[in-house]
This record gives sequence, C-alpha cells and structure tokens, in this order.
Amino acid sequence: MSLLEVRGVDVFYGDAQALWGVSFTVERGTITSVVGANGAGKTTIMKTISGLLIPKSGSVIFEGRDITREEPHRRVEMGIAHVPEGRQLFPRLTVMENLKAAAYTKRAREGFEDRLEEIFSLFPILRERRNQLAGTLSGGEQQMLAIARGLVLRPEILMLDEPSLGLAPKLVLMILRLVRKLKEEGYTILLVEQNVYQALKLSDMAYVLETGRIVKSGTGEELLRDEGVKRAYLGL
Amino acid sequence: MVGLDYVANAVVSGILIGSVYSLVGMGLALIWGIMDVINFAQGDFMMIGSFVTYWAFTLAGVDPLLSIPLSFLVTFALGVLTQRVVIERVLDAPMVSQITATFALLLMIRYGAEAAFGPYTRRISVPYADVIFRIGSVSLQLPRLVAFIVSLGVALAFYVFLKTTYTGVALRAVSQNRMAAYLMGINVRKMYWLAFGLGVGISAVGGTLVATFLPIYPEMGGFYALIAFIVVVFGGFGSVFGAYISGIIIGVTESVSALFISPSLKDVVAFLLFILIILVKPAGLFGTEQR
Repeated sequence: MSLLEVRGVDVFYGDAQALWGVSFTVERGTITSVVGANGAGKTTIMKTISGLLIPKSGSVIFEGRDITREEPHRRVEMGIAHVPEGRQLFPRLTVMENLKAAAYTKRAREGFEDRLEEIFSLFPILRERRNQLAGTLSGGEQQMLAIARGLVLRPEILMLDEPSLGLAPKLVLMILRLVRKLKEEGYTILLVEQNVYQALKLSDMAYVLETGRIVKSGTGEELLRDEGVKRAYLGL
Repeated sequence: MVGLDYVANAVVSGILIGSVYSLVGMGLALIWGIMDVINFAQGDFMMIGSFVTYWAFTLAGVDPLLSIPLSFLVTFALGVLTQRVVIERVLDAPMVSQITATFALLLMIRYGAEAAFGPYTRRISVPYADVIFRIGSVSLQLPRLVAFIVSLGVALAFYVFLKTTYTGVALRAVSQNRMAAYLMGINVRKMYWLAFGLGVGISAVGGTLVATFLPIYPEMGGFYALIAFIVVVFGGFGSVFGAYISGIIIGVTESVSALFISPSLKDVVAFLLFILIILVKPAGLFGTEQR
C-alpha cells in the first residue's frame, strides 16, 4: 500500500479548473517530486493534499484512508505536513514561538523537547536565533525555520513547496542536501521544485505536470534522460 | 490654583479607573487583533458582566469579587455562542457586513437588557464601599483599589497565557497567518471561538469591577465602548499589552483634566489626546506599522 495516493482529482478555483484528473502515488521512505512550469498546478496539488483545497471529484487516500474531505488540522494530526511556498512564517513570533505554534497538535507535542534538540542540531543557526522574531531572519534562515516547523509536526509525509525559491545558489544546494539527508533519516518527502535538474537528481519518482495534467512520470533518472523533459525544463 | 494634593489624588484615581478601561480595551484589542473584527458590542458584553454581578449580589448575596469567575464564564459562553452563530458567518465578508453584524449585537444586547431590567440605574452597596486608605494626602477607596489589583492580575495572567502556553502561542499564530496556522494543525475555527469568548470575558471582568463602585445601567456599554476604542487605537491596533498601558493613561488624563475643566468635558479631553496620537504616531504607542 502506498503511503499517499491521489486518485483522479479535479480541482477548481471558482470556475477555472486547475487540476484535471491528476493521479499519482507517494511510497514510504522515498522522495517524490512534481515538476512543471509556473502555473502548472504544483502548489494546487499540495493544497489539495493538506486540505486547504477540496477537489470537486477524485479522492486523496492516506495510509489507506480516504481523507478527501477531512479538515486541514485533522490531516496534520495524521502526519501530513505541508511546508508552503513562500515560507509563511509567523513574522512577529520568535523562532522558538514559531516552533511552539507547530507543536500545538497532540501528535507534535509528544516528545517535542527531544525533537527540538534534533532540529537544532540540524539547524544550529536556529538555536542561536531562537529568541529573534522570525520576520527579521534572512531568507535562508526563514526557509530553515519553515522546514523545521514542518519537522516539529512529526510528519509521515513532508511536503516541501519550492523550498529553494529565492535563495542564493549556495543556499539552494544546502537545502537540497538537507532534503536528501531527511530522506536518509527515514522521512517520506513530496517535493515541488522549480530547480528541475536538481529535483530529478534527488527523486526516486517524479511526475511532470503541464497545465493541470500529469503528462509524464518515471524515476528521476528516467526523466532526466527524457528528450521532452530535457528540451522543456533543462534547456538542453 | 489647583494644589499638588489634588493632582496626586487625581492621578491615583485615574490609574485606578484606567485599569478598568484597560480590561475593556484589552478584550476589544484581542478580538480585533486575532480576527480583524471590530466588535461594537464590546461595551455591552461588559454590561452583561456588571449585571451578572449585580444579580448574584442582589439575589444570592454573592460578594462581587467572588462573582468574577461567574461573570467571566457566563460572558465567555455567550461570546463563544456569538462567534458560532454570528461572527463566524461574516468573518470573510466585507467590513460593512461585519460592522452591521456587531452593531446589531449591540442593539440586541443593550435594548434586550433594557427591556428585561428596565432603564434604571442600579448600585451595589458592598459592605466595604466606604473603606478608605490614606497614603499621605492621597486617599484610596477600597473597591477601586481592589479593582486595580484584580485588573492587573487578570492582565498579567492573560499576558503569561499568550506568551507561554501552547494555546496562547497558537492564538497569536492564527492572528498573524491564518493559512500557516491551518498547516500547523491548529483548529482555527476553535481558536476564533476562544478569542471571542476570552475577549468579551475579560471585558466582563471589567464590568464586574466597576459594579462595585459605579452605577450600572443597560446603556452603560456605550460609554465604555467609546473608551475601549480610544484605548485600542491609542495602544496600537491589536496590541494587548499596549491596551493595558493606554487604558491607564486615558484614565489619568481624564481625571487630571477634570480638575481644570468641567468634568462633563473629560471625554473631550480623551478624544483630544486620541487625535493627537493619531497625528503624531498613527500606529499607536505600542503598535507596529504592519500586522
């Protein structure tokens, strides 16, 4: 059984259809990525999984349970963590308070102190800045905090939406290395990245999304060799 | 010529009454800050607190100070109910709808109370009403002193709650980024119930406190709501801490100015101060420019 299965979802913003019969699966312990151009619907997929959007038809199955109409906070309690695009921190809470806000659920509060230690060893800079307001952090630090907040949730699946967006090249590599490290530690990751080459290199499985439809799928390596993918996304 | 003694007395009594204004203002600031909803009925929820205390005292002989939890809980419950039945439906509606909704609440509560209790002014005469302490030339009426101490205690407890508890931090998180709060597993809808319940409940504690030394009547909410609005704008929109300090500043301004000009003009002075602040520091004393 797959950890997560999205089955033929159609999602609308008002009258405009954003996703057309999108289906894919995420297996436990893998990195799965969704790549595609801006506006292809990658963020919409993530929002559908975390419950910010409800599909008109189709279903979202998590650990064998249909969660299509479940409220977002209930999904977090089940272990679905969505680190949204643009970080979406609480700017006038401190770093510590941002992490504490993420420890609101019963699931996350259990062993919060211990997990905090793990998180701080992963991101030493956050420990240094723990009493600083999140809004005053640099872009890279903000992204680390956003991911850290996701880890506080004790996720079964960690969904990262454009984690490297707007970061300097060195930081992009750092974040991507981190994603690989998280996988090695046993996390399951669903990744949306504009940096297609790097994303595919990391991924066990990948899906190409074009104007709301999945047009190609395969392992990361397969898609890296695919002529269409090369032409459209890799500039080769 | 006004003697220094008079000024000292006015300052002290301003601080004492101001601390009650602070509670009403804090409630308004909380609701405003977390939900972006302006609750015009804030003063009327405070009036409910006063009447709970009045009836508990009159019918069952409950000391007003002992009725604080009752007053808080009754109003808290009414607040949660109001949130579920009314406010929730207009949260994402245009501001005009929100204003209309809370204004309708104001009318219903205020004139409902007037229909039920009559428009009369009532007083509670607690046995310790006339106990007065003197410190030098400054005299302190016991009920007012108690009101100040309780208000300070409530404000501190509230501050600690918001700063240190998981629920308090989650409440602040909701006010800053609703979508992210959902993604952190926070039940935003429940947080809003809590915010409205707490917001009106705190104001009701203010209502209980004034009932021990000032007359109460169904329309009293009008005056306190006005003060609460000044307090909130003065303290910085949505800043709960700012509301506490500015309530006291407004209390002092009112009572000191009453020494020099007709006491009936004291509200005018508060408003002048308000306009001055708007001109000099539009975000309020403790406000941040952006929210």
